[in-house]
Amino acid sequence: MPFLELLWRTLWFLGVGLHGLLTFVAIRRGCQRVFPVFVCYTSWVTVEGVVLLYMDYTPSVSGNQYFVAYILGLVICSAARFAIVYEIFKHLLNRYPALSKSGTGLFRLVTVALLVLVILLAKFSPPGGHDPLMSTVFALETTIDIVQVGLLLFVFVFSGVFGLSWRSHVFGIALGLGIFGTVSLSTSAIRAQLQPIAPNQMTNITSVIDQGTYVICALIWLAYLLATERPPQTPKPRPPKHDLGAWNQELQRFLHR
Amino acid sequence: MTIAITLVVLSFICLIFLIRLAAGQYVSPTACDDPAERIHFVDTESFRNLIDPAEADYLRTQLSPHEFRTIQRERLRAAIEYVRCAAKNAALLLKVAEAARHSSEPATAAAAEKLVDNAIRLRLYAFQMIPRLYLAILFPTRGFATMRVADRYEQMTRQVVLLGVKFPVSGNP
Repeated sequence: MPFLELLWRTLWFLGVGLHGLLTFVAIRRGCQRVFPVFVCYTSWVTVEGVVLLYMDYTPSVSGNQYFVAYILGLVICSAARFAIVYEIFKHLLNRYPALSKSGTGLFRLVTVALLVLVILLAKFSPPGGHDPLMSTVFALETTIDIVQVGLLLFVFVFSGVFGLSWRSHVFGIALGLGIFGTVSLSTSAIRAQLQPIAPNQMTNITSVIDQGTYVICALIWLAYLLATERPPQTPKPRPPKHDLGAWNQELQRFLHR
Repeated sequence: MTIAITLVVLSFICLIFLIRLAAGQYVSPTACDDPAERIHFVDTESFRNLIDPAEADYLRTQLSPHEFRTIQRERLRAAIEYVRCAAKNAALLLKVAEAARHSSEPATAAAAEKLVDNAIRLRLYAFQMIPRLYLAILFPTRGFATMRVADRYEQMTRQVVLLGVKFPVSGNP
């Protein structure tokens, strides 16, 4: 077995194991009450990983059967990741009711803009490779990743512009998802470009990168879940010099209104 | 090939942005040691005067059209600066109020909650108002804008005083 394939398989086992551990820790910590979609996602990734591993090592399972299971998993995972991004955003806005309406509106607007962008990209990208089905899968992967990364960037930029504070668990989930999305976008863009008919050195490299990112994301999520939530830091103002004057002026302004 | 390279480069930039953001999570708390030192002075009365349509109408009657356009553009540039300062102050106060939100005293927590709400609204209005003011610079003879930023800023100042945070108000440079 070539080194890259061995590494990829090792990372695959490790990724499934870590997602299983992550699901266990998340449920033990009661995350399903706050982030139900995220816990469903990690559970699904674990189950899907175990099923795909079993299918991969069972000689009676055909390549087509494996492909169908893989596509099903891809579609469910992608939908779940979109739902997680929305869950993160809603969780962020819950603490700021003033932004709820405009924030949700902007989120929808950005989603529509990203969808228009990916449709345009699909229209202007060169025609597919040898296998139309695989070309569609690669294009679908890239499209999903573009929209997902775009939405996550919007969430980060939106919170930065308004100076919103993140709870560390939410930030951890968003960070892991962001890292996964950006790396997956690179590898899916490369795969979509090369359109390999059979596994080769490049597909092995992209698979190792993908599996490695899975492992890193699971570790990031585990670290943030196991860490205790830090309360916002209280600024320590120096002894005030003009507080009395400010109080007095404000009181006068208030009385004269 | 161009699209693939562009996507790889863009995703790499996004990845660096995310990593910097994650690192910033552990650095930013110390960046706000004394918010009072970083607060900008905002004179709300002067700001109200700058965006008052009656004041603009008075200037229009007193000055030639060319002079009026020049003066009005200067006034609008000054108003943009005021709005920017108010928005920056709101962001700083948001950090202070976020910390006070977790206070064990219900009164402090409630005051902080109100301050957070106002600071957010002020930033929202400011982001809506700045493009309008720039548009007004392009067409200085047309009417524009709103007093909401000034009102919200005054409301926020009162809440800051209630919260007991040192904060420069009108006339206190």
